[in-house]
Amino acid sequence: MKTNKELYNERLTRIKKAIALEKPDKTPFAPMMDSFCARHMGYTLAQFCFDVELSNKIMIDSIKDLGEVDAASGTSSFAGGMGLIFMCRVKLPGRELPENALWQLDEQELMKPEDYDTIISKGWQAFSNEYVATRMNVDFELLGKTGAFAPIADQRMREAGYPVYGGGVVSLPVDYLSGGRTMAKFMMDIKRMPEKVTEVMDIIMKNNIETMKAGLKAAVDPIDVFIAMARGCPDFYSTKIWEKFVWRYLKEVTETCIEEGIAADFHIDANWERGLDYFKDFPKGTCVFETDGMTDIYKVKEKLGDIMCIKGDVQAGKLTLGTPEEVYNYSTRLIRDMGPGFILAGGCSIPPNAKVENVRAMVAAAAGK
Amino acid sequence: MSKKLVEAMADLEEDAVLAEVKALKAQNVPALDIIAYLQEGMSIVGKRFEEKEYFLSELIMSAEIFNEASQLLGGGMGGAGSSKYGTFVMGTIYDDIHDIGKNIVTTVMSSNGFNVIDLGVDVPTAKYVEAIKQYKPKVIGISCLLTTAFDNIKECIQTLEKEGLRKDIKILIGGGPVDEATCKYVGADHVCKNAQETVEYSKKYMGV
Repeated sequence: MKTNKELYNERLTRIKKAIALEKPDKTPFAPMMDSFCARHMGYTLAQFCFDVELSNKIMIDSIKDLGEVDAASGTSSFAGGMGLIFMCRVKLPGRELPENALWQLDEQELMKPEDYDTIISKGWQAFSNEYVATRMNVDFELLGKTGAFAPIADQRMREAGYPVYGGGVVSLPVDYLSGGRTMAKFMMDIKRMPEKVTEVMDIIMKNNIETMKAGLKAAVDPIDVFIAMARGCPDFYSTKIWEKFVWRYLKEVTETCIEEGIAADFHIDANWERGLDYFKDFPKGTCVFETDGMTDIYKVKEKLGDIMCIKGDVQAGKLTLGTPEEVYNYSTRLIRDMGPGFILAGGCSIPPNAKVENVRAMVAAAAGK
Repeated sequence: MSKKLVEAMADLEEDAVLAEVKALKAQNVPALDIIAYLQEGMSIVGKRFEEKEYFLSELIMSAEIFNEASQLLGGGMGGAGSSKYGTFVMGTIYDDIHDIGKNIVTTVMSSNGFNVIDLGVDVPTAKYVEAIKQYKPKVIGISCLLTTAFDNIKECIQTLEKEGLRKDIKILIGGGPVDEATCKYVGADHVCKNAQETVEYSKKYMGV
């Protein structure tokens, strides 16, 4: 019988080997999951959101119940802080939403065009402190508790034998500005005042990279930096715009991760097929393409399979409406076709109403059972 | 015909569009004619989108400019009136407040000549029922980005059936987690993977 420490080391090695494109002893299974854990363990999403210590227990118990999970995607609920990734308000279960509804971004035009000037004159930190305090609906008490409990939550997860898939997190400027301004207003900003937007983006990027580096210094066994890139999808922009307002910053963040010796985890939302060729120049075994099922994973394999690890992509719909057999067969096919640099996971976060037996089918497929 | 306005709209020249709308208005050109020029420019935008010269960024910009110009004439996108094709009703299903995908589809449908009724996000079944009775669309679109809202689409479609509103309309669904299995589960007619597919399906069904 292996100890938790031994299992922890085994799992950590497995994940790191997959990222380095070496052959691990088995395909790692490292799903993003939080809301699923709550429903799996019989709690409401409101309970999960507002009780930080309980959310940590729920995540550990859910992972233990599933068995062979190689890394946790987090250690407690972060729903209360989700808006900070997009500089917009959130609606939470038990607050604005029913007890069991999923937390969601509530996008409104909180940031005004004149704020670009303020950011340029005062800097991002001074602007964002005021912005977060007065315009967003952050529950500071909850956020404070989450921060204070984070080291304990992290330690408890690791003591249970599970590494934490993460270590750093960084948002791209496009997510801050399109979330704060709204997507439509942001699109007009880049048409009306491209140079000003670029100046602001440079300021945000500098700040976020510094914050990311500081976070990495404090992290225990960091595996990767989670790069949030929801609004950066190349399908949303003409090539020229995308290169100037998205790719330039994504490349900068990635190169910083590589310099820091940490894997860059591209958390891909939506269809990035048009942008795949851009990723070809990164050094082999330094990045993870974490995809949600919207980009054809076989095209990712064809273009980038020899360069970076692929993570994904059992779709949320399949986990909710599909059968265990379908999920098992799909997962097994991915393991056969994507490896060895492959980590099995759901496409983005496993939804709260995913069938537990479907998630177990992923575990079984990864274990080769 | 104001070639200048049509071209400025197609080229997304915001200042030129607004200046020309003001000039035409000052010359007492009827608002409906000005709207028609703007719509012609929007059709070119739609064509350039199809030909991959334009992308969603340009579509969103075109909708913003069109709306701004319409405001000068006392109406928004919905007030455009004289659409070439039929009416298309769309919303994001209740309990879901995602709006980007829905906005993209309504913009593309408008620029392709459909009269679009945008019901917004978190739309309850009663609002779909009311809109279908009032606007008599041939096609409706339901956007959904959350698997937890699949049952809401199902309930909505079942209600439309009970109310006798289902048989003459086609129901399209779309959004990240939505696939063929979802379509079957909720009882919709077709899954649209992108906005262009919504245009093509609707045109075909409406016999355009």
